[in-house]
Amino acid sequence: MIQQLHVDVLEEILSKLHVKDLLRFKSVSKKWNSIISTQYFINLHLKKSISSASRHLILVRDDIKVELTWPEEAIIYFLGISSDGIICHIINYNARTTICMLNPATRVSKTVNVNNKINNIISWFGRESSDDDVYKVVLGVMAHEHQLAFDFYEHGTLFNGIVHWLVTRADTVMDLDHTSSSVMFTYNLGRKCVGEIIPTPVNPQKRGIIGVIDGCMSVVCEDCSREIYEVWVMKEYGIKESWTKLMNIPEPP
Amino acid sequence: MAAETGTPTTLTLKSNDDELFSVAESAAILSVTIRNMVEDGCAGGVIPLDNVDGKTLASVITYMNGISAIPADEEKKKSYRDKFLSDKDFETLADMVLAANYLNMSCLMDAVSAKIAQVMEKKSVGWVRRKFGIENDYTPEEEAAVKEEHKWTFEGVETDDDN
Repeated sequence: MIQQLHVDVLEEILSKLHVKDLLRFKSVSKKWNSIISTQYFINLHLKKSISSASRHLILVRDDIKVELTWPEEAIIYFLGISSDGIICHIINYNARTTICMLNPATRVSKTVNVNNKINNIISWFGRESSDDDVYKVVLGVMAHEHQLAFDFYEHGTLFNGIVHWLVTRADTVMDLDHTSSSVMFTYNLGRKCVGEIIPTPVNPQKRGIIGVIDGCMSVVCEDCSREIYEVWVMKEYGIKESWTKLMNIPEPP
Repeated sequence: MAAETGTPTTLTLKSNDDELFSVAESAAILSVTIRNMVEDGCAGGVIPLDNVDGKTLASVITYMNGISAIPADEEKKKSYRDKFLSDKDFETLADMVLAANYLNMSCLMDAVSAKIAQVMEKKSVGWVRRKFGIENDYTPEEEAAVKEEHKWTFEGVETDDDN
């Protein structure tokens, strides 16, 4: 009889349900509620959802009117940082900043207030690893005297516990002889401190996007004059000389 | 010995209600439980499967024969599984998931649990309690509180007598 179902078999079945059904079935019994609520089960369900064919992509327009109880005067500084289906919004008010996290699947949201208006920020939102129970938000404020120019829409790339942002040295933005390059600004999540500045082969005049390819940090940058995208990987982490061009991708016509 | 005579080895499986089934060893070893018995040399006589009844075992053997006849083509195997499970009712699926777990057959386990999850879609809390034989251990106040917390998940649920 199905009453004999082991917890692991039940978890296997429940992990294949949609979130809406799962949340409703918390009302079945205390045992079901506790199984569905454990961190282990949540991670199991997340892994199944990510690997299933029926993933959803939420597209958010820049001028979206967010249907949440956020004040009208709020300026949504930027949108679209997401991790494991959780959306993180940073909202700037006159005197403070609010971080809103929303899980559209469960319709649960959490809000954190920061008692400073944070201008010119770089950000990252996510988990250090898929076994981690904790989601972290990293916000970076640019000091006026700082010589790095940040792209505010750069959301950071996690690699080996370190978040990376592609930035340009402010004094080289106007470098017309193309001798300087963009660098990666880093933040070590474990040590909670700013890390090394890592050189990249990207010319500051080219737009680049960093990522991870085959376990190496990578940069894809646009070369407008030649109408191609260059794909670079850093074979040995932190070693400038190990940047290797993987390929050129022609710009789509 | 069978290898010497050139005929495929056949195993005899016994359900918990004493039904006997003959099945090709090559198909039966889809079950890790049975494969281990074969490898340990304890599959010489009749293999007793104390947790599976005859009706369910017959169905599992149909699956074993069907899926092992398909060459390594994951698409075809998947469509066989879908077809195999398409006409099974909840009770049969429940028996099969227990059997797949006991026999340690991951591909069947995966397919049956996915099918059960599909059947559970949009079902009421009452339906789940009845089908899974679960006693409601909430007090009326506790239950009302849990339901209130996830009120939106009760929209669009199939109607049921004791929802």
